[in-house]
Amino acid sequence: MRRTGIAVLLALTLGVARPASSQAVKLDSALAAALSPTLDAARADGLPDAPLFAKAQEGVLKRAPRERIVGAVAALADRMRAARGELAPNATDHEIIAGAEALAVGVSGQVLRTVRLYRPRGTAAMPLEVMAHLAWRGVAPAQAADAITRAVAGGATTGQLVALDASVRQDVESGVAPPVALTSRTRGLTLQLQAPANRATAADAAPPQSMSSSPGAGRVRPRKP
Amino acid sequence: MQNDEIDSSLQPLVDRLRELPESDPRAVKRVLARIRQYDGRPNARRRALRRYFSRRSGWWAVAALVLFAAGVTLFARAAVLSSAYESATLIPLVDSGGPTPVLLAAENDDSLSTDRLVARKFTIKSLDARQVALVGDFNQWNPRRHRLHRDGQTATWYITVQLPAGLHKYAFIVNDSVWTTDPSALRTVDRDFGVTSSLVLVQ
Amino acid sequence: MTAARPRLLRAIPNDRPAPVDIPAALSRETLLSARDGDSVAFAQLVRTYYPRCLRFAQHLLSSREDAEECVQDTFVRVHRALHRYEERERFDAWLFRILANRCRTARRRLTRWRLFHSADLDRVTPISASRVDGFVARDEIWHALAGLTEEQREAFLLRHVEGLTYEDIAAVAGIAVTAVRMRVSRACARLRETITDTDAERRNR
Repeated sequence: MRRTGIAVLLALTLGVARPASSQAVKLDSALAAALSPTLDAARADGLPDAPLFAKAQEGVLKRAPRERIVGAVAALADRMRAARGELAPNATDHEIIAGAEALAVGVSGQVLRTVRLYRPRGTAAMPLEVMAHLAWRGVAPAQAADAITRAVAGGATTGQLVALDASVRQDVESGVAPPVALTSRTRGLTLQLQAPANRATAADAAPPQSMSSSPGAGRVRPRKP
Repeated sequence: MQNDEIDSSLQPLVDRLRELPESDPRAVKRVLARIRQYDGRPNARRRALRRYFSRRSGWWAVAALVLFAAGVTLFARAAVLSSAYESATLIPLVDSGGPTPVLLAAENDDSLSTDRLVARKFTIKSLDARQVALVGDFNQWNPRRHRLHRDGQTATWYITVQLPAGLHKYAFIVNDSVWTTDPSALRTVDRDFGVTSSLVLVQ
Repeated sequence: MTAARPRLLRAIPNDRPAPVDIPAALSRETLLSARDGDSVAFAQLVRTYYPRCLRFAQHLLSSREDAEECVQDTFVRVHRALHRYEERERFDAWLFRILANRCRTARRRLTRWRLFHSADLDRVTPISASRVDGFVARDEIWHALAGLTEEQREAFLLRHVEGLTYEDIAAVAGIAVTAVRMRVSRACARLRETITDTDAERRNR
């Protein structure tokens, strides 16, 4: 009786411990077989497999040829592997996925290493995702990477980075070109990070310029970071 | 002649392109009606606010600021828990002479786990849809997981989904056959499969 | 519960100012009055620029109805953002930046990818279909424009129809001036080819 109880308990525990994401995806047998080497290698390397399944399922939904799906999943696994290396040691799954996305849009591995230097384990994902989001919005990857790494190095919180992203979005919707919007908003964030104690005084004395015009000579001269 | 200039072969085309369309006098009225409906008079509203606060004595102004800051805190907390990304993070710009703006952002969230779930509402307008599904990397691109609901009065379809904080790709599938990106969101170039998706950063 | 610390992300522009150029039909005074909230002046602004905006949107979206919707949306946004407009920039460049952005959004909404049901797995996968509401592309003009990419069409129209400078177009599109020149050059080359082909076809009939 006791052994049966322990066996049931073990079975339940193992069942709960198995990642739910890999249970949710069903692929046809031929595709599953084609993907199996990539998935097995990724699991052996300790990479999260949910994004790989999601990529495969995305390809199925989009009616992509099997070879293309296999190639895309393998490429994602490679990017995750590379991201984990750059975000070592002990990158979380979310950081690995965010790092892979950043690499996909053209951010360099060096940038991931830099973000890791300034962000402890578990907090590097959002800066990288904001970088990728800005790149998708039309900012050159190098400019997005530079702006975010400087902000992170300057002590910007995740909330400030997200607010930066939202500000750029607002400006772009008002007609400002994305690179210009990011440059201007980054300057504002830099000033804020450099002089938080003087923020109220600075705001009252010299309010910033409008974002809806193309950049002109501002009344506030930014300090060099 | 430079390659980017108009020569005699292109001049007739450009002349036709430069013809202005017939003007519709009602069109301007429609624009103004939409603006009145929106009731956006930021300058007038801001001036009225300035006049109001400048007439009050010091301690009333302080009390109002304290209450406003407390209200902002409550709103920011609620925004983190339940609202869309935009309502938590929009930053008003400062006009010369205007009040110091307040950033309606979440609190310092470096202490918050990025693995937490955030409620995100997806909407799309479609006049000819009989059903709309949401697909994305958060539901394994499965059109059976998240079916949108239709607003009975309008052609708006909607669903609120709990998503992990971070970047997500998604799209809508209308009537089980039409792949549609979200017109209000960024689009991605799909280098893997060649079919564009939408992109959202959830926080 | 502590109050949220007010934070500020400021916009600090730093480029040289551009010269102001306002069409004779809209005086500087009217523009500034509209900026300051004068609704009569704003109505005059809309009347002045509506035809040009509609022309541009129609050429991009191929549908009068969609173009009207896009232009109206633009002017609502202009009304919201006008208090932030500064005279350093030409007003039409600022306006067309908003309009081009709205047209891109509208164009994305109008592009549909069609997926076939699982029963049709042997059929070709996604095709793009631009919705052309009741508009049949009979005219050579539309045929010529249809041969351009969206970016080339936008750059060509802004340069040679709306008369914007390359710097203004670069700001509208968010790319370098050299890239704008290249788009316009390619558009011109492609249009010349299309016109030559059409002429040849006509002669051979």
